[in-house]
Amino acid sequence: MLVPLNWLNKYVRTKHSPKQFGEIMTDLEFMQDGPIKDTKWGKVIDLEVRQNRPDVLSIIGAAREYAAYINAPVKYPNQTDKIKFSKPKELINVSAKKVVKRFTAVEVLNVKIKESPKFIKEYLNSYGIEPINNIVDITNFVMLEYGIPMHAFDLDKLPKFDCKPLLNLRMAKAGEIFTTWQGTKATLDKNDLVVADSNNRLVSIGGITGELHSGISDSTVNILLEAANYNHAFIRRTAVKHNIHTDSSSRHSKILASDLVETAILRALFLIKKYAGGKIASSEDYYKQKQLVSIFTFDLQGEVNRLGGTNLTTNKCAKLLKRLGFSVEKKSKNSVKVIAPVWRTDINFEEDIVEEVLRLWGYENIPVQQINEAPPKNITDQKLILENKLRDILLLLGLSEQITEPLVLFENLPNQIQLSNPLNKLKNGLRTSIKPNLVQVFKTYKKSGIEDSKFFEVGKIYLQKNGRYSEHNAVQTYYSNTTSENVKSDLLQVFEKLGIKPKAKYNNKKVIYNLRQNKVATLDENSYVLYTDNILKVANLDQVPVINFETGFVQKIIEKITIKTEGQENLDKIANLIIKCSKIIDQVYIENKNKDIYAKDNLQSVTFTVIFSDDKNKLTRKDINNDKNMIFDKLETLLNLKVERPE
Amino acid sequence: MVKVDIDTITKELQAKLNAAKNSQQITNIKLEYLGKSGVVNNLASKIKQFPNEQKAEFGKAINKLKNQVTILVQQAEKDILNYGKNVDADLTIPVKPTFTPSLHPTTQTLRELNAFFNYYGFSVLEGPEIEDDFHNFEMMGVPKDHPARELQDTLYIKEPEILLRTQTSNEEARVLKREKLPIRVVIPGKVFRNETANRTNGAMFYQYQGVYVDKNVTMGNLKWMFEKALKHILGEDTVIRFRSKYYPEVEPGLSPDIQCKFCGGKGCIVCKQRGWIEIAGGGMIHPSTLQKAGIDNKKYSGFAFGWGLDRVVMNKFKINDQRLLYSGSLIYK
Repeated sequence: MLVPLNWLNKYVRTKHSPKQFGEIMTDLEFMQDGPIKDTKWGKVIDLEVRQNRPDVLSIIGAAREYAAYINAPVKYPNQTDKIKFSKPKELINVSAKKVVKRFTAVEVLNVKIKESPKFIKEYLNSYGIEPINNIVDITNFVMLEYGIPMHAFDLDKLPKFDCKPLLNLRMAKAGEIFTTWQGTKATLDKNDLVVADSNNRLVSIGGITGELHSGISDSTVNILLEAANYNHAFIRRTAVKHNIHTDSSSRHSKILASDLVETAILRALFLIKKYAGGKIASSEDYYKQKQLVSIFTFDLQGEVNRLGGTNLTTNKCAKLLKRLGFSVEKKSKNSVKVIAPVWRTDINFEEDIVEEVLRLWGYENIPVQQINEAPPKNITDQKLILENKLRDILLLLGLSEQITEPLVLFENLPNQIQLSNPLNKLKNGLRTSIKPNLVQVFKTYKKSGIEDSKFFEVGKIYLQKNGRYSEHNAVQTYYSNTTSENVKSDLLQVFEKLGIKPKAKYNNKKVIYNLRQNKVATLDENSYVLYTDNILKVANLDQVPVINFETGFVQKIIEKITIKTEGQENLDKIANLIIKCSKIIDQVYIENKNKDIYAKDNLQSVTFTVIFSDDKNKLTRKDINNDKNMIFDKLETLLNLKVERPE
Repeated sequence: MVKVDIDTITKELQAKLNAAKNSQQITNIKLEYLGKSGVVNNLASKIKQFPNEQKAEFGKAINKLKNQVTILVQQAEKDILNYGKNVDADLTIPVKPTFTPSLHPTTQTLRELNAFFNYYGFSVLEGPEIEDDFHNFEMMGVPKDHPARELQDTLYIKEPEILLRTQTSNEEARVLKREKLPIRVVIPGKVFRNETANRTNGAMFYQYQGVYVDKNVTMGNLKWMFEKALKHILGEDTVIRFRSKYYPEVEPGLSPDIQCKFCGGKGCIVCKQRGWIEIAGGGMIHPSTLQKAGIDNKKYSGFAFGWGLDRVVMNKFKINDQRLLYSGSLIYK
């Protein structure tokens, strides 16, 4: 939520610098998002407003919070005198009763469309909304002031057909098409709320966006002003489904206060009267589901101190709550009645009130308390203990650990699970085996020039059978460049360390190892899988040795440098020169001495593998390229070598 | 008549082998004795000169010689490799280093954190990755259509009930229902979101979560735990502040920020000019969560905390792109 500080100052005079204001709001729950913007219209602060506080998607909402912090009153803006709303008849008809909580419409005749006054234009500009004309601007202005979206129609463009009401709130028909004022088309369904005119033509998607035809133009004379509150779930689903996100939909997707609809309408009518003239002709209000007031009678002090670990008095708690607009009334020694202010739709539990007290008092003031209770019985998952022991055993056998994503291509493998809303077409299923992932890792390593690889991964595979989904724990290995005898030897060594002697069953180029009817492992020519869940049933974990050692890790980037030589050079000298060129070169070696002699110049090429690593800083491509260029220069000038520079 | 003087020949051979300086010379000696027209074959060809009755004896002698020569040569071949007699070996050639095996950086970080929390009496659990809506969302204060569902884009297996867990809180829900009180557990594990991978977030990432429920657990306890853990992870000089933040599964909610170590709190690009970096989340377990687990929320209270583990791993091992972590692109030393 962008908060222009000049605008906020209308409701509460700030006593702090913009930076301090940002820090205060951050402490209160509204984190400053990004740097303070310096605009032509003053400083603007972006605050993060989470889903529970739509009341602070407004300038007055932010002002209330700050005012509570400095213990000052909020100066609420002028609004027109209360008007008596009629029941829905001429102006509105609500058939979507599940969705519409409140809908208020007012007919204002003989308005004068012109530019808005300077302050409205400036405030809107500072928020980032382009001023259009006084009526449109006032609806936007009040939406930002109170957080209640509103809309004005050109009354003369809403036909009066068959004596039907002007605006009809109903669910859309499947396939009904709506064109937004920006010209995008949405094909609606029966779960979308729409507003139709008396001729059944759609004039808006409820709570989200309007159309062009019935909007305010320079020739508008009479208007129909409306503000509403809906069941947020419907608005949220419609906005997401049609990917239409507006200032209005972002507010209506949250739980707004129905009572504020009237406040916003009265405020807008005040501004319209003052800056556009006109006269109220009629007004109607649909308000069947009245907003519930949150009232709690409980031991306020006791609960605050029980959860906070604080030592606040009832009086102190009450004072803090009152600053936030709560009303507090002492009922008995340990019982206090707390009523939430009308704009707070997020107060549903006593604990919500506890939070209000503590956040205004300041989390920094909560005393830090060591946990002194004796720890309960250790219930660590035995599977995790086994997995850790297997990691150590495999590490000892020279295997490195990999962790890969289980999201894979759905290939309709037996029992494979398909995702219903995948991220993309290549990750639309879950793996049924970890081995393909490790083969992929091997390919990556091979590209880096490492052909001898031994990997393992501790992870899960996922299966479905007859609509039931299951996940299974497995430890998968993969060996390249070695004999199947070596792979098998390693597996036997794992069994040895686990203290188990399973029986081998040979089956179509695979060996399946069973122990007491539990499949504990499968071996093929270059890998084996250990079935953790079954091993747990047959191994005695306490007797599996602990081999805990730290191995460290430093990120490495591997580069190749090829030179042409007559075969006379001392290759070690060249390697030494390369290594001295940069502080981030870890190793230089020759993978394969390529003895192909170039027919043309009688030179042979030698490729050096250069490993860059840095245990202090993050490696960047720019640093590596700079260093490589320096290596090329030095090899050419100092050793007079021909270097193959990359294109 | 030719005589097979095994002793002389083997002595001569031994002398030559002793004098050999590299495996090439040994190969040459091997050819000289055992080659097609080598010493042994030359002698053997003389068998024709013997009368039949002596041929067998001569043949035996030749075989004995051949065996002895072979043994001596093989021994010399082994010796030159094993005892460094290979003086012509080029030790200046820069060779490929042996790669020593390694645990994944995430595992190393997890082990360290688990050991830390074990010390404070926390058990380690993992929980399922395929989860139902109730344990992932409903029980954790996010009923269907709750605005907070916006916070987590979900990957579904079968909409709307079966999903890949979006948070490790699913196991918190299960633990609260399953285990006896008091409960003190950490839950590290993989979680999934329907989000395109970038430098800092992937569709799969690790969360690290802690849960403590007992009588008299307070926010003061949570602050203490956060301070201990964050200083353990990020260093004793870490400056921490606590502020209010909304998370649907807790009430009150709390978020610790750490002062930016790059600018010392003045504001820079790393901290987006804030001077502080949001690092974790937590709070007192929501009363409705406790109630749904059958726990008397007026008698017991609890805290929950959590953070994205990958950021800790990346910081610890100086890895600047989350996508490297789980794509097999980390090259080990």
